Amino acid sequence: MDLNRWERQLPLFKQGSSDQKRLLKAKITVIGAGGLGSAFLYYTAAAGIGSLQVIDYQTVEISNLNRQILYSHHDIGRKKVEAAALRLKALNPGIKIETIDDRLENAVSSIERFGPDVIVDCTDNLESRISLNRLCLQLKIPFVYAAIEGWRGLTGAVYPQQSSCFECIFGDKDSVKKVPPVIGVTPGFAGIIEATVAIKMLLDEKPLYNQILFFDLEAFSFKLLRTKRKSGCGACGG
Amino acid sequence: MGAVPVEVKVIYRDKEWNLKNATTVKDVLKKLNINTQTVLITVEGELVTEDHQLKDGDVVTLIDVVSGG
Repeated sequence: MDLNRWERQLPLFKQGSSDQKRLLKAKITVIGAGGLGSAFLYYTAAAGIGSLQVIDYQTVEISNLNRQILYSHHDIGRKKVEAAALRLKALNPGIKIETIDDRLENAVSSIERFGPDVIVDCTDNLESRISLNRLCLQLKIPFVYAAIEGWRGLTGAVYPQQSSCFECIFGDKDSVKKVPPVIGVTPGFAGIIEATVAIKMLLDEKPLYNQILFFDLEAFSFKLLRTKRKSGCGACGG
Repeated sequence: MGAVPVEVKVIYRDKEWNLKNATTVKDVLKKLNINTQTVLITVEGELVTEDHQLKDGDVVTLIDVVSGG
């Protein structure tokens, strides 16, 4: 197998080319191909993740283009999953991309059939993250999540039955009801952190284990906070 | 001999308060009239629940929940 495309990153991996081959065989399911998903998908496709399952039901709108860098002006009106697949294939023709033009609740059996090594939340709401957290706990698949608003955001990870889960931390929190302001760098930054976490997970590391990274790009503040399983958590049991 | 009074520092957004007699995080939120559903609560760098017992000198940092994407 020709690994020239990845020659600059091979020295970063403990097992060099054999780790790259593991990434090429890996599967990731990504829910949401918006601001978070744009950054996540670009960087995981570039890094050589072999199979990406992309789930999104929306079409590209002009107001998406300040942050959803997978899309161009000529994609307006096109389904996001179609435009995303074309762009990612142009970047790296060797990867497999499965698209699902539907909502998460209608895609669960497709996720199970795909059999991802990691599931990644790139959605824009708390309720979807809670559903995904429960699905990942049920399927025992590691989960990466992120959330953003304005200049601020966070990224975390769930290792089923080992670490704190999403609901241990956010189970009693309120979702933001109004559409929050956002500039592209914020979901871009959070999506890149998610991609970093997922790549490391695929290489048997445990990034953000019982931790959440918070960032504020207005204040240039970055905080790594410790978390723990919540006793009696309604999702993981604590 | 009575219990040692608990005084904690609270940081939220750009403001700081020194609060006396707040023995749990719930007391802090009540004194500042902040809804627990809208913030994440950290004490000395660890996320905690509102029932967390505070010690004298603790620094409580409140972070607004973000949920968009």
